[in-house]
Amino acid sequence: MLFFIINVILIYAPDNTPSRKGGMPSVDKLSCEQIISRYYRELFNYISVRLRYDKQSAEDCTQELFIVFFRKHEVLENSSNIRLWLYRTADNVILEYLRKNNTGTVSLEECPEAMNIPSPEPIDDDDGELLSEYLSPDEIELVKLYYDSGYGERDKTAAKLGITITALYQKIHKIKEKLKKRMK
Amino acid sequence: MNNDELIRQLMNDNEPEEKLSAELSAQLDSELNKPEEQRDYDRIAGLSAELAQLHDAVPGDDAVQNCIDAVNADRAASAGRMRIRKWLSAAAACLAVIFALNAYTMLSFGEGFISTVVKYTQNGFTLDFTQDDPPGAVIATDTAPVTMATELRPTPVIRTTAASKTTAAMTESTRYPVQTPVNAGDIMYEHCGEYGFKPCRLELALSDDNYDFSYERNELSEDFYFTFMSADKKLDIIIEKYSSKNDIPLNLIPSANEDFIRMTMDNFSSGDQTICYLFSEDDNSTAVFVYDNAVYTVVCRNMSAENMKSLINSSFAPPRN
Repeated sequence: MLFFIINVILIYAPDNTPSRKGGMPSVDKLSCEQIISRYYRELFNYISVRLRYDKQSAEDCTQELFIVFFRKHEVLENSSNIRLWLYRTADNVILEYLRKNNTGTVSLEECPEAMNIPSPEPIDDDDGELLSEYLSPDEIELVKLYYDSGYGERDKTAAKLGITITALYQKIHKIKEKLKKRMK
Repeated sequence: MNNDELIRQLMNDNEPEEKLSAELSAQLDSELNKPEEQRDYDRIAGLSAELAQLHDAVPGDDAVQNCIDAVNADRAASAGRMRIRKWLSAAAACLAVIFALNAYTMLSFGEGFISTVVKYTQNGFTLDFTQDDPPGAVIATDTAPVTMATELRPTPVIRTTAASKTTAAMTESTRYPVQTPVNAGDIMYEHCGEYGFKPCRLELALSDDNYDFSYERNELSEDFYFTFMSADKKLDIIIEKYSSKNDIPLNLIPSANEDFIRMTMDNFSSGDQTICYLFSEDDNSTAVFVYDNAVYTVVCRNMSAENMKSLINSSFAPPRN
């Protein structure tokens, strides 16, 4: 009878003593906050991409993800699987969100609107600012190479430079980001 | 075109970012199409971060703190959420089961697969229906063994709920006589229909005696309790209807037996595959499955695992249209 009484007491114990419930180590409040701080941006980015960059929906889903995490954290027996668990839960939260909103899941490649990039602020052609002074000669050369090669030849240009086509686009993008910062 | 004109063209050109986005998206899709155990999550995180930044979809400054606040609020609201299902004659059962549980700590899942839904812990099994088991890992109904324990112990189900508060006015419990012969599924359909819910179909003839029905409305679920009794058998069917899969709380099934059966249900079409988890000790079996955000828990006393499998497979089917 003693076992029964002790276990019933443990079953009904409030959440501030969760580790006693089944002898499993639990994630306490502080470490949960640390987990949110550590993984929030990573999971937000992932969810944002899966939701076609709908920022508000991504924030809602990320919050839902961590609420589910906290509801279930007693069964996480060690921290090594937390990241995998979070990604799995994120997939479920996304599917549930899409189901509720009657939106089918599609491949990012098959979704043209997912490729839309915010339009840049137009640069005035006649403001007299010498933009080339903000860039190194190598960077100017890369921009020239980029525009000298047509779209179909970018692979060859990247290969000549010994980089992948993705890296070429990344370098060009970085140059633009650098210029934007300098022009502010 | 001089250098400055070239750079101005670059600054007004979205093409590099669009092409970069397409390349990164293709790489991310490729990584996500891999089996889970082969995915590189560092790469997924890196690609996602770059894509989100490209599309200016980055979280607000206070997003992390807002999330922490929301989680803490949810935690506070659900404190003390544990409850034991009222339909169990728990006292006698718990004494035997809990005593036995303390002796078992091993983790074992029989056939070498790992279920993301079912986990064996020191307290028995936990079922997390917010997760999905990969379809490919489903064990056929005739391949998974159940190791029988030697003692006769009923299997109580303990469930954590996101909200244990019951809106008291919505609780009722009544015992009804059965007009024989009658189909248990018709009884379920009629009672659930009174609350605007269509349950899964059940084809199970009742020969005699009574049944109990009760209904509870909780903050996140509507619970329908049925107990069908015959001379030597007692069948409990509990249906908990949630509005969202993510609201389904953890199921805890105390068990000293580390094996369970995972099976697809024959009457549910391939497009709507439903997986049932079956736990058995001696002649007492518990089956749990989820259909359309409703958790079905079937507990039968004096029924072997094989018979329970047959019952679940042949008797349950998707709801009537």
